Amino acid sequence: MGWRREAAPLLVLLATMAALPFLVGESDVYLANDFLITALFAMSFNLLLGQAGMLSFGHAAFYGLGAYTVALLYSKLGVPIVPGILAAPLVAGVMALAIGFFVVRLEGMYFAMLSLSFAQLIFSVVSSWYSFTGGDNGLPVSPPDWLLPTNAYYYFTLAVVSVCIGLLFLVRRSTFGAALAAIRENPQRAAYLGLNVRVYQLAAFVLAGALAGVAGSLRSPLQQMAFPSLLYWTQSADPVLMTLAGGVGAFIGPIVGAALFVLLTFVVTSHTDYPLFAFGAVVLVLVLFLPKGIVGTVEGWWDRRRAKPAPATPPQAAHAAAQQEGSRP
Amino acid sequence: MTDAVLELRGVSKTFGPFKAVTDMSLSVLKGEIHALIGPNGAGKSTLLNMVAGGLPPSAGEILFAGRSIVGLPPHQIVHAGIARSFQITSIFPKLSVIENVRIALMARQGRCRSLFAPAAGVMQDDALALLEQVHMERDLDRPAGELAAGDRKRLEFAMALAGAPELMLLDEPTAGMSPEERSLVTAIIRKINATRGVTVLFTEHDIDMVFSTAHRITVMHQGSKLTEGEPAAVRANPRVRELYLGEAAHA
Ligand SMILES: Nc1ncnc2c1ncn2[C@@H]1O[C@H](COP(=O)(O)OP(=O)(O)O)[C@@H](O)[C@H]1O
Ligand SMILES: [Mg+2]
Repeated sequence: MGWRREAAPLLVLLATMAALPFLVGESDVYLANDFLITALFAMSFNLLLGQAGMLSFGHAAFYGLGAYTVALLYSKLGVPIVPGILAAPLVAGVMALAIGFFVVRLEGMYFAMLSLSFAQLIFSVVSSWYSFTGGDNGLPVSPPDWLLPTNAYYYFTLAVVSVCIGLLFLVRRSTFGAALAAIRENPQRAAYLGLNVRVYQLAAFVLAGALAGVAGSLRSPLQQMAFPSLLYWTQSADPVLMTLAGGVGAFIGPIVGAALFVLLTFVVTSHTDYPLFAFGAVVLVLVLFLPKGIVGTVEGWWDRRRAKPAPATPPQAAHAAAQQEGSRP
Repeated sequence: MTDAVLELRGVSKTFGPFKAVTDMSLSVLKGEIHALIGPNGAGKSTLLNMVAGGLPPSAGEILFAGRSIVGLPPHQIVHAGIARSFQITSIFPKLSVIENVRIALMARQGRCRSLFAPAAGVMQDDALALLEQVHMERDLDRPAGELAAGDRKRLEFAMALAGAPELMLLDEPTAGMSPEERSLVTAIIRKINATRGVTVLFTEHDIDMVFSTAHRITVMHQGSKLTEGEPAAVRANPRVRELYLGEAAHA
């Protein structure tokens, strides 16, 4: 039953996003597109944090690699962006495999710091290799004519993001997802039950990296430019903050966090140069007062409301409620 | 019944200058219940941990079914057929009781590898059967972390049973349990040993439980083997009486 509660808001959101271009103007559709991409980025991050308990501070590396895969293929080889977007998860996934090989050997803060170091390394290569990446000047990307209209690219993004989030939805409930949840809860016990903990963590790292690559590959055509800032460490902080704001333990938590982030950044950018600072302050307040994030708090409130009239029919109701509780990562 | 399923030859473990286990040799025969006893700090947990792959021995050889298992990581040792429980209960506190057992079964059978196959209900019946065995079928959907200490210990025992291990390493399996729970777990150990031929190597402080359950007993003291033998012989050993049973009698 847990899956229905998690699927329902996703379907409502999908329907809303599909209807959006009929309801709002072009600049708002552009903002919504930004949100979709940011949401996928945050969701891919939470496969690591929420499902596997791995706090990566270098997730932007794979986001940026996705963006540059499309831009480089386009500007160096003349490859159109759609094949570029298909190639992005492969490039980001292979890089995640190479980096993951080292970082999954570490735990906790050491894992976070080494993932950050690798990401900064890639950032410095991308930002200083002018002849190949254009360095600080960035690298231009131009979508084909059929994807140039704001609405066309919006629906394209919506389709790709929906598929990827659907994938994450299945992974979360899969036997692989169950193993990740066990590893998150108690890696020692998981190992002594026969799970090769590092292999599972590496697989999660590669999958998360590949999906961040997809998000990044959608980003550069939207901005028609790939910038090194997409790989910078502040970009790695974004999904951490979005996930904390929305709720680590809730499937749609990062989506809600991304919505908040995109809206707040949009509003704040017109008043200050430090949107991340403003969002950081909001997250700080949220984490202090709603430690389970927005979605986690709403879910908890919802469960308690539904649990109250339960005593009359204990076995089945309690069974369902506990199963929802338990199947959460 | 005569060949050793687990054999330790000259196994030592040092932590810096400290010798936790010194030149231990031990044969656990196929199908026996073997108790490892000794005062606190004797090195019992360290020894079990070395067998389970958690600690590399500083010296010596460990053979399981005739094959060296030194250097194998814990998960490979599990798949070789050795299950363990911890002295300090180790479970998945936020998962429900039944999920704890289901993940144990799934992990042991290599059924955690699918990215898309739903986990819900996988191996539910086997998990139920195991939980019935430890009389926990009432608590299926409770988060495991909410259970009382004895219940958690029984849950961990059920997880160790998952996947029909050939050898079980149980570190104080009845510590912190009520007398009823104790006799329940003791009865299960005897039963799986008698019906399925599972070999058990366990440590325990409850002397009555040890002498009533074990086929053979190894006594450790300060990292070394004091004596080994059948319960009656061990009980009669004057050094055991002096060093271990005497202590227990005072306590
Ligand atoms: N990781 C470790 N580092 C240092 N000393 C340890 C470590 N593990 C155990 N010891 C020491 O080794 C000795 C044996 O411990 P242990 O095997 O837990 O004994 P037992 O289980 O028989 O009570 C104790 O003195 C303990 O302090
Ligand atoms: Mg001990």
